[in-house]
Amino acid sequence: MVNKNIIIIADYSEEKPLSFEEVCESCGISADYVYELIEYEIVRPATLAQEEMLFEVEQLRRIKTALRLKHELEVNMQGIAIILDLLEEMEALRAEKELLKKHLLSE
Amino acid sequence: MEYKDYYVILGVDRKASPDEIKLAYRKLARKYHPDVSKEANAEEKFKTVQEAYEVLKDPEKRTAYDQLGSQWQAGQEFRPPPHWQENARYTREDVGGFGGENAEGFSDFFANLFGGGFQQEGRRGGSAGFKQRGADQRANITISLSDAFNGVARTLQLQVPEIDPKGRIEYHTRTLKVTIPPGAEEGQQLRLAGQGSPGLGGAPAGDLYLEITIEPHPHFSLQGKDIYLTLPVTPWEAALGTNINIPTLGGRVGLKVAPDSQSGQKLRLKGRGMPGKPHAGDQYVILQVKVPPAKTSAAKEIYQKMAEVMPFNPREGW
Repeated sequence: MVNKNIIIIADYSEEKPLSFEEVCESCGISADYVYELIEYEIVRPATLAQEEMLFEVEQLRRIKTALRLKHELEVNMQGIAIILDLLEEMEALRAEKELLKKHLLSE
Repeated sequence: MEYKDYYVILGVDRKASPDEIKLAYRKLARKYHPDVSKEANAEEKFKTVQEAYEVLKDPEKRTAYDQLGSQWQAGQEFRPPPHWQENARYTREDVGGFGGENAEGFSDFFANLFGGGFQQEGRRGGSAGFKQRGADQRANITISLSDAFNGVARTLQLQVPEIDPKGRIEYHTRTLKVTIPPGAEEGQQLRLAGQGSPGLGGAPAGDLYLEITIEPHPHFSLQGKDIYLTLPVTPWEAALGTNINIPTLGGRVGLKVAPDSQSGQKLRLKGRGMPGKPHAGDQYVILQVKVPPAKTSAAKEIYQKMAEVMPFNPREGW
C-alpha cells in the first residue's frame, strides 16, 4: 500500500444536485431506465423540466436500492415502489419510537 | 485460499435439481437481503449465498465445480487443479451480468476458479482507448450533535483504488479535509464530486459520498431538524407555573412554564432546533413532573393534606 499522503481540501458548502447524465453514470443505468424509474415514482426529480432535470443526492440511494431489489430479489417496478415507501416509513417509525422511548418512558 | 462448499451454503444436496437450487437461493436471498434483513452480518451472508448461486445455477460452472470432487471440506486450504485454466472458458465479462457490481465481493476461491471478482475498472483493463468513468466511493463520518449544529471541519483518510500504468490495482491513502456545514442531518449524504475512483482512459473520476452519522446525545434527541429535550419539573412548578433556564444547542434560554401544566406536555421553542432551509428546526421541551418522595412524616402529612384539600380524580370515568 503506497501512502501518497496528498491532502485535499474539499469545502462542501452547498448541496450539489445531480444532472440526468450524472445519475445514469453514477448508477450505471440507461436513460430509458431512469425514465421508467420516474414513471413509477421510484425516483422523484427535483424539477421535471426535460432539459434541466435535477436530482437530489438522496435519490441515488433509492435508485441503488431499487437496482438491488430488482436484480437480487426479482421484484418488479410496482413492488419496488411499494417497498421503498415502506422502508422509508419504517425508518421514520423506528426513529420516532426511539425518541418516544427516550423521552416519555422513565428509566 | 479456502474451499467453499456451495452446496452446503445453499443447503442443498449435491444432486439437487436446478429448480431445487433456485428455490433454496430465493429463500436465502429473502432472508439475508441487506435492504430487508434483520440478521447480523446480512450483507456478508448474502454475498456468500449469491456467489454459491452464481456457480450452481449455471450448468457449465456447476459441472466444472463438481469436477473438483466432493472430498473437499469447506474452509479447507485449496489449490486449483494444475490444468484448470486450460478448460476454463469464462472470461471476466461472463461474471456479473450487470455492471460488474454482482461480482464484487466474491471470494478469492471464486475469483481463482471463474476469473471474476474485480471492480469495474479491472474488467477491461488494458484495452486501448477504453473510457470509463470512475466508480463512486462511499465513506461514513460520525460527528457530535454539537458539531452538526455548528458545522465542523474534519479530516478523513480513505483507501482509494487506482490503476497503475500496467493495469494493476493499487491502493493509495488519500487524506481529505472536509468542511461540514451547520445543520447536517442524520443519514445525510454529502456529495464530493470527483473525489471517487479515478476514471479510465481520461474519463472523469467518480464521486465520493460521505454519509453522516450523528452521535446520540445524553439529553437531546434529534428528529429531522427538530430537537427534543425532557425537562423534569416539580409538581408545584407545573401547577403554579415558573420560568426555567434550559439548555439549547445554541446556548441557554429562559422557558416559561404555564400554570396548570401537565406531565407529557410539549412546549415549542421556535427556531431553536438545527439550522436549515427554508427555516431552522424547533426545540421541543417535554415536561416530566417528578413526584417528590414522601420520606419524612412531615412530607407525608403534606401529601395527606393535599389529598383532602384538593380532591382530584385522575381516573374519572374509568
